[in-house]
Amino acid sequence: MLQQFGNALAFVILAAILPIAILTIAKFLRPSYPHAGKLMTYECGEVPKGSAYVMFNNRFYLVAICFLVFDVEVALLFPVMMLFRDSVNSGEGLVVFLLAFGFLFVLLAGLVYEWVKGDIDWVRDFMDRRKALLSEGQYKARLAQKGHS
Amino acid sequence: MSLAEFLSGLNSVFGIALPMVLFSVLSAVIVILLFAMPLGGMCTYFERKVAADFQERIGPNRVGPIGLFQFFADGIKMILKEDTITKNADRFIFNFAPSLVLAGSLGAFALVPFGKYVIGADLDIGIFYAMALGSLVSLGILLGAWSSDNKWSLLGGMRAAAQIVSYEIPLGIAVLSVITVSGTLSMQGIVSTQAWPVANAVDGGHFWNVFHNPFLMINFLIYFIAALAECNRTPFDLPEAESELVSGFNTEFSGMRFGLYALGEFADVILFACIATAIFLGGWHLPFINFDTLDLGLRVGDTDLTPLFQTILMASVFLAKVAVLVFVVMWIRWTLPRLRVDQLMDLCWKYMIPIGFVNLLGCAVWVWVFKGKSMIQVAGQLLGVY
Amino acid sequence: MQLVDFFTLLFMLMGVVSAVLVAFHPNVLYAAVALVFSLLSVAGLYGVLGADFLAAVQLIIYVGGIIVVILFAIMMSENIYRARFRDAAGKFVIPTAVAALLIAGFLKLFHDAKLETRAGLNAIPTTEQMGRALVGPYALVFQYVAIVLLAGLIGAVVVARPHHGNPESEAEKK
Repeated sequence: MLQQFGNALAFVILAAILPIAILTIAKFLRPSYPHAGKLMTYECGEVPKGSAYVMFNNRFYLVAICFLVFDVEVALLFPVMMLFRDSVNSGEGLVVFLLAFGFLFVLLAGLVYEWVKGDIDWVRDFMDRRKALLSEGQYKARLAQKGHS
Repeated sequence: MSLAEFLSGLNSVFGIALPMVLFSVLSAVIVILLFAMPLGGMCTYFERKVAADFQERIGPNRVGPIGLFQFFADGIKMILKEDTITKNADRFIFNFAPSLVLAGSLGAFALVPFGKYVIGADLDIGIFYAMALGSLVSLGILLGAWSSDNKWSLLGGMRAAAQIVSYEIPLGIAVLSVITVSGTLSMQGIVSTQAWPVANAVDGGHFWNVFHNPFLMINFLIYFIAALAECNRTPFDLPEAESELVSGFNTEFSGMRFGLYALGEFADVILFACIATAIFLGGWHLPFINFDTLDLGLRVGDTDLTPLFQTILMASVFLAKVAVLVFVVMWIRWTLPRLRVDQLMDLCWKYMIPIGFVNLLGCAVWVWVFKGKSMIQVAGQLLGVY
Repeated sequence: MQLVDFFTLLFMLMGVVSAVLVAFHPNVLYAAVALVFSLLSVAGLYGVLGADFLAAVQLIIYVGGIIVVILFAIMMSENIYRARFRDAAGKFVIPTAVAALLIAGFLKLFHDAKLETRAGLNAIPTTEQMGRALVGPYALVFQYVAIVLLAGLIGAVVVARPHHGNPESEAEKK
């Protein structure tokens, strides 16, 4: 088994060294005439204003957290589902099925909760009262503000 | 000291036979440098020809016969172009990010089973390891985008990371359903369970996984769509949206650096097509033919060339299937418009994940009810053939 | 020395050097990149010790998931690029003493435990054993893990909701 890992490692190392080797060879072949205009950040021809590091909306972070939880779930389900076929043939299929899908349904319930509460919308819907978590008075005030009646 | 003494001295130093080490390195060199990279390069040419066909024009036809050497010309051009790095860019990460992307895409070619004994590394956790390496690609894109010191790059890179990372879940669910049906994680094992079913064989094949049960058919579509999103191909190419974000996360990359990212994208497409062929479309199996026992009666003098020709046939069948899948990927690119970013995220979290899980449930129920037999085997049993 | 020993030492060295960089590098993003290497070296160590499934899980979850979360968190913090992290000036006597005590304790522990570093040479595939454990003796723990993950998920989304003072809800109120 270690021999196979060695092969896989050889592939990864070669693939990681390849771009460095290509770029190093290219460095000796290509011209290099640095000039102030070329060294500026590209912004469609305008002079860039402000720093390039903007503040992002926190929905990127939420997507990453959601992904992490479901990734752990998928990774933990791999060994269990691998056994499923053998366990069906040896008579314990129901037990494995219930355990695996019990695990899955708990997290699926979490996904459904997020969906209903609007947490996985990319653009949060503020006018939907249930999703915006507003009280009665706040909702009426917001409706009046937006010009509905 | 003669060469033989030197080599046997090396043997005792490392405690492992030098031929094994040489085999590892050589197989890596052959698969990556002589298969993945040239094929990735040729795909840029094929894409332009396919695009031209769909748009009723001719495409590149100057360099070489019907323009076949276009990608050499492009490669030489990119190497000779000046590589500008902006003043405020982070040099170390800027240089290092393409390594991560290519390590993820090209490193997973170790697991592609081209033939019965032709595989770079027959790991027991085969398909799981391929998924693990795919997650390095998102890291490379995010770091490359950040180090460019460009608002457009950063926005494109964050969107790319969010997209790639979200679509790994449906990909994992589709692979889970294949595991449920195959019972093993190793790539050669999954391919060998997809042989044409033989009468009275308990653990023979159940033919291609995509025809195993209707739930797996739908999960193949889920896998395909998720793979499109993982490779940033249209309709999911918002991160490199040519009309919106200048060029997305590769705005500041010029010359060969951009060439490496483009190569990484195509290598990713080919990798996902190879994995889809291996786990869904039966690898090198064709209906009614068993390549293992195909005796072609080819002999040259004393040596029996049959295994060589069997391997060549298997590899040809495999590569033909991969070519069909890559053509479909290109076809989709030139047919469909691009998705908006909120449609993209909705598609993943609200459609593909629930559908994937429901089909996983369906696959498990099918395996339980029919004891792992495929539709073809069940039909054969009903008709009395088995 | 065998080839497997060489790779064990290589991964250990890579892990130690990158961990030192994570702890001491003044630029926070470089520290995150060093963390990538540290986690990759842990995955490599799992590989040479024969825990194949665990090595892949480490790559998928740590390198593919947690590092992305950390990088997003870094990129979304305001002005973090101008921050230079330095240890508090002059306060290194007590931490060094505590660290030296810890290292001595660990060295004695490892010496007494007689750990097997060539376990990978006789390794068997572990995925099936883990599966049997998860549906066998650890089945209840498996379900508890689901609930813990659910708690993490719901907690994260509740914290990130627009409350009073959160930029999203402020923007909407305008």
